[in-house]
Amino acid sequence: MKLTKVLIANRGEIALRIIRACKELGLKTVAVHSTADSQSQHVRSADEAVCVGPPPARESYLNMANIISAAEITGADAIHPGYGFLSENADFVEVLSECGITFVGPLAESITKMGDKSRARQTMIEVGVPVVPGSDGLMSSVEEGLKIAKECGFPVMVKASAGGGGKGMRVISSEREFSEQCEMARAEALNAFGNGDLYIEKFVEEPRHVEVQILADHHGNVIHLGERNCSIQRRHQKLLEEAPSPIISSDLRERICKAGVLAAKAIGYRNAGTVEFLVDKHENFYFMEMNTRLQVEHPVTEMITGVDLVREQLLIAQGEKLSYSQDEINFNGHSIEFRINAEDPERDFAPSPGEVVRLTYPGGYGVRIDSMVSAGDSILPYYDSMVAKLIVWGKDRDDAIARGQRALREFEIEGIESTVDVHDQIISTDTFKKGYFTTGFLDKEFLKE
Amino acid sequence: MSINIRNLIQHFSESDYGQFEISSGTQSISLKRRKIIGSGEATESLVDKSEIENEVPKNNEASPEIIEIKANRVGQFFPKVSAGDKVSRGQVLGYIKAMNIMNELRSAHEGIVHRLVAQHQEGVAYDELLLELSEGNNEID
Repeated sequence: MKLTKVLIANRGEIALRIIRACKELGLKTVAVHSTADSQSQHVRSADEAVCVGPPPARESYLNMANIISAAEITGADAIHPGYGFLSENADFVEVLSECGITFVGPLAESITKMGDKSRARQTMIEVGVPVVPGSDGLMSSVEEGLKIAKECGFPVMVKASAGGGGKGMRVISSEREFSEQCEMARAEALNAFGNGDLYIEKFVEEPRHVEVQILADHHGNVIHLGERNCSIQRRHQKLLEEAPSPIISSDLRERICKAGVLAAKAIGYRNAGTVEFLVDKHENFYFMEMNTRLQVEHPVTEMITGVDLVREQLLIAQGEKLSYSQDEINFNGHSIEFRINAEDPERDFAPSPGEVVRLTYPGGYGVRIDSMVSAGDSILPYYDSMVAKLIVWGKDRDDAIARGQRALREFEIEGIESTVDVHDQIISTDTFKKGYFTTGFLDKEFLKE
Repeated sequence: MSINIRNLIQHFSESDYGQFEISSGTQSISLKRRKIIGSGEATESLVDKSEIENEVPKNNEASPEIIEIKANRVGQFFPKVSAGDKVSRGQVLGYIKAMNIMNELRSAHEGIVHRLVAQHQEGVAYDELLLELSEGNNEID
């Protein structure tokens, strides 16, 4: 069924991103907004706009009834959820289906299957996608633990099932120290949580976050669009992403991308999705989770493949076959995305909402800005702190880094604290330039004092 | 260019602006919001009549206060009152139909329906003006 009018159940840059793709496909658009966002650019850019509630997200952007009613009163036949908010809410997808509204995304069932971590893990084991090896559940005895540890290969990590904050957690590097370390972890867990239960998993050494972009249609076709490296994180939130990953060999790339496709096929996935893996220093990779939606960092994939992912999402949702076969996906150059957030890197990246009094975006060849913020706009405390995504493309990684440095130094923002300078510092380090960094990079290099 | 004053007032009253001025040829209009008083329900607000100057005749009498009744949800509006109707506190003013459920909209005030703004079966957004009540039993022209 051809779509005619799409309601975008989101705000900020992603709402605008989706509106742009709809316009290029000749689809009418409906923006929804809270009372705080009535003057936003996504509201001005859409053909129609409906206020769906007061500023708190739970009463507006998460208000299913008002968002579905907004689709009904405007005659929208599809809803694109963007990322965050209702994008991975299986109940929402089910209600939409009952209302006869197309959800631009996967089936509710896929969201549920991937949302339940242990079920997802089991599914991956069944189809042969590697997961972090370990005890499936609690370790019944030290003897059993040692057997599992030997199977996984040292080093392993024992963790308290009631744990948190590193209590009852031990990295054990050899068989010799296994039983002693286990007893210590058990005693510590018992002491801290009143529960000495432990489980065991392989310790992923020098973990890197590598994820595979998937596109799947309703006709059984599944392709990958390569991988992204998202190891630069603060407080487990991604800050900088790049494609392709600088640390994996072409052999590993092929294996990890195939595993991504296998994971999507295993759950009959449809639409765009991302399969996240941890890669260790020995080039082992392990399934972490699947994000059943569009990712914030999708533009880096677009920049190196030339595929408009949101356009593909919309075409898939209206039942069309994928526009590309796997052989038609070509990778060209290197792309880096810098998340420019209203955050203060000096204060552990604490949010810094407020009015942006001065703002000049960088431009020129190979520079893309996905944003909705202009000078005079305020970064509201109710929502996430993203100001803009600065995405650069270069013919290779060095070229992309040089362009990134140039663009970041052109970026002028006043009135709020931002992550512009910290990005410049990150990509100027030797560690980053060499490409060999782990998920602990930011903590080690910048937050150590 | 002539200014459509009625539209202008409506846009102004729905906006966040405190003050607004526009000039065109010999006409010049200045609108100013006097006060906004919160009422019992979060989705209703009590707004003063906008002040109109220059070419627009001034209303010299003390005008009755207008209570704006706004939508507390998104849906299709089914009014149950008409302009001139006297309404009592707690009376159903209409329904907002959302996902096939008719949701009652009850008045938190006593008054007379001054103006129905949203039409029968019109789709309304959250916080959209549905109708205006004039406070108490004051007649208005």
